[in-house]
Amino acid sequence: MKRKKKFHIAYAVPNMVLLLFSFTCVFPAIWLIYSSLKEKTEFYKSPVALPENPSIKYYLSVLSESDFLKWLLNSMRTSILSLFFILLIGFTIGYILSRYRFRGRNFVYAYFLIGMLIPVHALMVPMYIMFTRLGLNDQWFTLILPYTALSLPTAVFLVESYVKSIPMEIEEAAALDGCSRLRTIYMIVMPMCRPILITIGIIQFFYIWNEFTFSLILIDSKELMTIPVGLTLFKGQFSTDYPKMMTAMVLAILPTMIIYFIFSKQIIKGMVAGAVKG
Amino acid sequence: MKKRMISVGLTLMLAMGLTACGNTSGSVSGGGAAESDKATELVVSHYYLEEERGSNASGDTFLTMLEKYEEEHTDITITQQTMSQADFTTKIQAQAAANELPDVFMVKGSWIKNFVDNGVLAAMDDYLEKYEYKDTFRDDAFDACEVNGQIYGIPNQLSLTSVVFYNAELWKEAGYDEFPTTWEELFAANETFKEKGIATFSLGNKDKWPAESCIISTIGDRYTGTDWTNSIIANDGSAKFTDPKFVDALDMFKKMSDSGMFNADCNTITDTQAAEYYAQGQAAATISGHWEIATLQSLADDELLGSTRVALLPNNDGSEPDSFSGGCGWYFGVNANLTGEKLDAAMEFVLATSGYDASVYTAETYGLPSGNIVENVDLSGFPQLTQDFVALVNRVSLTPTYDLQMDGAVIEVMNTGLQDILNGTKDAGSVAEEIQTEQDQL
Amino acid sequence: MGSIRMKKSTMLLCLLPGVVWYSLILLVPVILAGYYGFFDWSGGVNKIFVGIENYIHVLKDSVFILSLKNNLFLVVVCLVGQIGLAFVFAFMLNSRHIRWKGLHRTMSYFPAVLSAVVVGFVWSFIYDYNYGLLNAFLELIGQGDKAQAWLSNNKIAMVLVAVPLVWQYIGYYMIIIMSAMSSVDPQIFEMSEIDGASGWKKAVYITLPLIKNTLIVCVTLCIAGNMKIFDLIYSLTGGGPGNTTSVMAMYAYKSSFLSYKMGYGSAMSIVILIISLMIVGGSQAFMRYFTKEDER
Repeated sequence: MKRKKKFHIAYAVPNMVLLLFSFTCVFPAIWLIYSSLKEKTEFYKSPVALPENPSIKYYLSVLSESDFLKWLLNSMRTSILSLFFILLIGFTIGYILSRYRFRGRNFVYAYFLIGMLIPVHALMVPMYIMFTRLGLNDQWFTLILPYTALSLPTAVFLVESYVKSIPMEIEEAAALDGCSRLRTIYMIVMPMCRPILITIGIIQFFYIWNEFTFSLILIDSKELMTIPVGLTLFKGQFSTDYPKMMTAMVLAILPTMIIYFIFSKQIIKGMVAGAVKG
Repeated sequence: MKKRMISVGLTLMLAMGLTACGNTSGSVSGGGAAESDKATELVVSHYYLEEERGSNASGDTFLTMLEKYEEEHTDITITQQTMSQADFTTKIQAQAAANELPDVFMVKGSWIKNFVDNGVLAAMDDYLEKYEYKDTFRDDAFDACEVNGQIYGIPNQLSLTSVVFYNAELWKEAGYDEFPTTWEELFAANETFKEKGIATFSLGNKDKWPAESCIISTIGDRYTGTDWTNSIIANDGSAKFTDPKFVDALDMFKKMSDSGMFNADCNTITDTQAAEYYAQGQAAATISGHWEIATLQSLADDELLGSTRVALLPNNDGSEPDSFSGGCGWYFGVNANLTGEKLDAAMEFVLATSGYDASVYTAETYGLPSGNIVENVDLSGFPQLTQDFVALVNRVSLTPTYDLQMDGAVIEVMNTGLQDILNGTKDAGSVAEEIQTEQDQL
Repeated sequence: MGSIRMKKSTMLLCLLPGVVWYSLILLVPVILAGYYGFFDWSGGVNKIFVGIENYIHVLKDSVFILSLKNNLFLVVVCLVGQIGLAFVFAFMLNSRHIRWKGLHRTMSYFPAVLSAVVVGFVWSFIYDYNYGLLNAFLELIGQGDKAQAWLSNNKIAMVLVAVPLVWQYIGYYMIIIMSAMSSVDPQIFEMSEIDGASGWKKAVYITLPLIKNTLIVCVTLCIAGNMKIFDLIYSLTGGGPGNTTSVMAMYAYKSSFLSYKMGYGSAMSIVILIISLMIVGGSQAFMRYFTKEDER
């Protein structure tokens, strides 16, 4: 009896630790959401307390006074198109680097990996100069270019190691059946890589959705702004109206939160399945 | 099910691609200046957010004048690039580096020399010569935008950067009928406020400029005199940051900080949060600029506003202080690549939105002074605080604000060093040396 | 292998779009930065060629060296904090005595989807002097006199900056490590249980070696991420107080945009890239060397 009790206590500790950690992970977002429904004075009185008279007035004012919906559309367009190219190109290159040992293969692999190390914020000036010289700044497709390029290293890296775990026999069988090489790659192997592609898609989607600096530097027109930049126009720099600032933040993260929690099972399954095999 | 999801996804993507394409035809405006010299479109870049219009007199003035200009010039389309001030500062540097600046843009006094050296700013003298109100500009209006005898900008606001706003009630309770005119009294008052658990001055220096722009610019001048500052700005080598008088100024600032005159979290809050502290009665005073009036009006209740007075930091010899830092520091400039009609239109736009008419609007709507002298403004309808503020400005003279005129790299080192002093991690001497090292590299 | 051969030209055609896209967007600016690094350039048309002066100056710049040290500090803290804790948590989650596993997995990855601005805002509120949770908590447990303006304390500022970083990415590494653990044959764990191996022994002697390749990947990702870190620190402290929490990418950014030393900032970005390459390369060689030793 005594032994059993001890046993329980021993496992209570890790359970508690994990619960506590999980709680801290979501609490900030919950706090942002309910605080954005408060009045400013109420917030100052007790920043953590729940709102007494929840009000959505800040949400109404953002939605009516700003171009939020337009920015939302821009963010979605940029993210979806970027993801399309990231997955297509990343898969193609990752697959080839994984399956074939040709001359220069290691060089190409290393070349893509170096991309993970590039301090992009420090390179904004040359980046801007290049974009303007080529006339690529301030277009509807502008942001797709850096987002795709910057995401390729991770995509190539993860696809390369995942494809290794797929037995080659399947492709050989397909070849014997007379299936062309490209057809095999995109119709048979690519669907098999779904878990890792979901992983890549998720990681990069959140990166693209939140990205600020490129969006600020490369886009001039208000019509083409994405959410993170657009909302800085709304909340301003010189504000102490926390609930209002928090409203802007909630609006910025809400779409990602909804996507995350609806698809969380799928996402985590993809993540777990997709991460690099030991 | 899966298939349907994919097809929905594809359709969605296609639809977006299409709307995207639709967009291009409508809005390929871009910031490309000088592509044609026809005056059909002007790209204007500034940091006046519509959202902050209510609490920013200069911003409201500019936006109002811009709207008026649009009404009067229906043949010209004004495309605005608007960003918050910090983002604007970043972006304009990238645009200048690529020589892809907008047609008309805001420019800070301290950038002017660099921009002129690189040939991106157009000289305005010819147009200014023809401007009917050119004599109404303040004498010092062009101090920070004149390079080699030519003028490169029209002042868009009069930055008055270091005025003490104090809560007369709190000071009275502490035994002072007025803000002290000697440092000794100020330090003595500080002890009283510390006992009450409030800061003497609220300061929000997270963004690093307030301590320098609002405090050191004035204390520095008290110690060094304006000639010294002008020598530093001109970089003629005769004045150095390591001069004992400037080190003494930094030392005084250190003494203020060490004696607990500022709120403990002064390095982690913003300027506006500091105003909030004052507005909530957590500080007896705050040192800030002309923007503080609007900020306080939006943050403080009537009672606190009613007991708020303006004053200046003490003179070293205890005499009545008669100067503080301020002047024109932000200008509207025109892209040097513009020619012909477009250049004319850009110049006209700048003078219409930042010249005399704008100053009249600011004076009549807000009671505040700006780049042009506006005669006979009736102030009686404005709040007491505004009246006091304007009376103070009219009574004293202005000295240069460091960050509006000194080199940006030097200011960056100074701002960082001041944060160190506030934090008690560096002394005046070593900060002065670091600043001078940067100045030597110019 | 023979049956899945691919024509050279097809292969090239497949690689080309990606390589060109990637090179244009990333390689060209790097080369441009390397080129600008040779000039005294404040942005605009005037460039004065100064040779390698900028590059030498970067290596002697005390702020840059401080920033490099801060980057290295973050690398070490995050290696231990992110990957170490992620391993511990993943190990716990692998145990059958833990409840709500799905919930933990979902929740712990969530911070990684938040933007740096949001994380920075939330944590600056935790550290806030007047309204902060940390000070409120100290008050609650009767340690109110320890309350302070946390991010002003230059002695612990770097630690305070590292905490949110660790917090944000534990989930990310946890998921990667869990996937590696899931591919380990569960029988191995059962056997060790019969042997009477205690929890931590099981972790260190059995699990760790089995997933070392994944750990190497995690370590690489972690080093790469922390050598170029920018966003979160920029929104949390902006490098302050003074330069206490400055990191390399931020210093390069400030040199270009606040001090208008674009040539210098460009040179610095190249130096950062080279240092990062050296450190990642070195750590790779180090890890490969030790894991090889193991296998012998």
